Amino acid sequence: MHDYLNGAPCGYFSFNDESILLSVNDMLCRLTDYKRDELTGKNIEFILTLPSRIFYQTHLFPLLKMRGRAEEIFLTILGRDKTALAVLLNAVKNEEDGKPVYQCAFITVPNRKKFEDELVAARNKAERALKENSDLLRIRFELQEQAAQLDAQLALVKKHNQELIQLNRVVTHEMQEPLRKISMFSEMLTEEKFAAFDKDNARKRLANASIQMRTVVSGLQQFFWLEEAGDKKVNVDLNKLIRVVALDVEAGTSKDSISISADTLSGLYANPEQMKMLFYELLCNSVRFAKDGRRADVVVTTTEIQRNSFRQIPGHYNYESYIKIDVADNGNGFDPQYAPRVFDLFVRLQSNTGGRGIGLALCKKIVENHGGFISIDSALEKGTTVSILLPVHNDLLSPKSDHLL
Amino acid sequence: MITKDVIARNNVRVSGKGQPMLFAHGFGCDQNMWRYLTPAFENDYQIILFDYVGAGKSDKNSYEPQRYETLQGYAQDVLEICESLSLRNVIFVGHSVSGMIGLLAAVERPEIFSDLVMVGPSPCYINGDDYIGGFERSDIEGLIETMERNYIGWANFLAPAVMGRADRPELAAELNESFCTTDPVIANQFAKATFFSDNRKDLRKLKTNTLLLQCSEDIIAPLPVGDFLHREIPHSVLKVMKATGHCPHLSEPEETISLIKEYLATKK
Repeated sequence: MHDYLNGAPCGYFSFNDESILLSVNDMLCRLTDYKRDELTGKNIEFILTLPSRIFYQTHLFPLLKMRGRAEEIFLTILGRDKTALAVLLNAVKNEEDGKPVYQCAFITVPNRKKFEDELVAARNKAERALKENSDLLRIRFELQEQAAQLDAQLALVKKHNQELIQLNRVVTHEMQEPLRKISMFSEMLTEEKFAAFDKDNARKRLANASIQMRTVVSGLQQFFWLEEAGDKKVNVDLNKLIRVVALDVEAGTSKDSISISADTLSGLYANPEQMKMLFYELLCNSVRFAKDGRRADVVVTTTEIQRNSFRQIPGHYNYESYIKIDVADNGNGFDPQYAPRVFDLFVRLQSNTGGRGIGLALCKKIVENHGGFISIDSALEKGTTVSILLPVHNDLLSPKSDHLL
Repeated sequence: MITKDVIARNNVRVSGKGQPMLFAHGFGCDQNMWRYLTPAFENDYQIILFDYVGAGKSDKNSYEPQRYETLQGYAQDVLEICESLSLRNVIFVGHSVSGMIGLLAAVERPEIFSDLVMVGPSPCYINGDDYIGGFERSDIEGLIETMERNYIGWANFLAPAVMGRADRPELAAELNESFCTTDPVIANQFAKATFFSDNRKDLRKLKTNTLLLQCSEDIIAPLPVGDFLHREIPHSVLKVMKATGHCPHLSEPEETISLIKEYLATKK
């Protein structure tokens, strides 16, 4: 090192990419009370306080590496006797033997630090006063509460609205078609020009159309009569519930039509009847869409995650715990472009599977009754995964009596 | 949120073709810090870079203090980027705090991610009973103080931060020149969200295969932290690097690249 630099009225040091000190000048040695050979070869962190080490790693090193220079950086240097020394530092990146060398010069700023300390204290006090103003806090809390209520009401209104739109669609399409058939075939029965054979056929078609009509009406009934989950929630053991529902599904189809694998699942706080209905519909779907009538292998998992509980009002955030339940099968799957529509009433992607077109609509309504979210992901030939998010309620922490199925 | 908004909000940059590789920068910097790594992958992978809201060239007007109070809000950024680009089978590479941000995102939506690569991660920075994070609360408060002093730039310092400084764009430009993260208020909150986070109980929930890159001398993520992560994350591989410090992708890009490539090769 040049004598001028060694005796300069500022601290000087240089280090490399590995943060190893290559050279230090007299001033730095004097300020830290270390000898030159005690510092060179050491990591630069050796002469920094812990907060300055973090700052060096997260800010200063990346900055130097990428921009090649840094100016007016405030750091605290640590001396032998553990006194912290406030410094302002300038640094540049140069090259020596093809490798980067970072050269730094600094001056001590004890007085500036005192002045800044006072400014920081004054500013923080002003900010705290503003933030902690109790009236403001109370109003903010009330606003958040009201926003949450509004959000819930908006969600409910939106849900009812969508149901009305769906009802309208069902009345205009799903019910018109059988009605048209009924009126057409009953006309055939009264007109004399038709032969007995045709009339027999018309009678059969008439019966079919009325069965179709009855299916639509009973489906509608089930969908619209499904009540809000409300106060009928209890702690539900999902492990038990899934097993019971799988037995029901087998009873309705055939033995060994379904196999469930599940680790220990989280408990739920929910309406048990509706949960049964929900998982019954989901598992039935897995059986219905199993490959070539093979056994449906269904994997059920639960994970606890955090999710913004605001659904309708943008710009509001309140992260709450939700249980995420994934029900994944290995069936035929479907083209994921249809995913947004499958939760609508009487939407069937395949007409020959015996579904009523109400199952997933019912599932969505049940999940939303519980303040939850439902989504579906599918890949052709690979299978379908339904994901359900249900809010965890604190009640779960102090379990009441387990609900017996 | 409309797709275009997310792309502009997070300054998302896409290049290359192939399996998507999403690079998430850490606390204190922006997407530029990946510049030594990405050239090694852009022939075989689709490279996606972005800035968290508040960092780099992101849209700082989109910053919502409530949203970004915890790492969850940042994980939402990641998921929204994946959603708006319809990404699947994503290799997520996250530096520092982005390791845990990636973890939260992959726990919520495992179907999006094929692998996580965490560079210098830590699930909890503050020491606890039977846990060595490396820091005490007072150290972090000291860091926040150091940051505040470095954002001072005397003039803007005098105005209480809560009053904002939209009326002084030239100051922002100046700060932008000197630091990766521009807005002191946002940087302050990000520091708190980062260093006061505790995701230890989330580690076991991760189902995605994970590569942990641990530097040999890193005060921010010391060796016991790497061991803890490896023990708790079910499908994880731990590599202790020769590189020291907290930014091996800056100081030892070759080693970082070869370890990531070596790991990805085992997937083929």
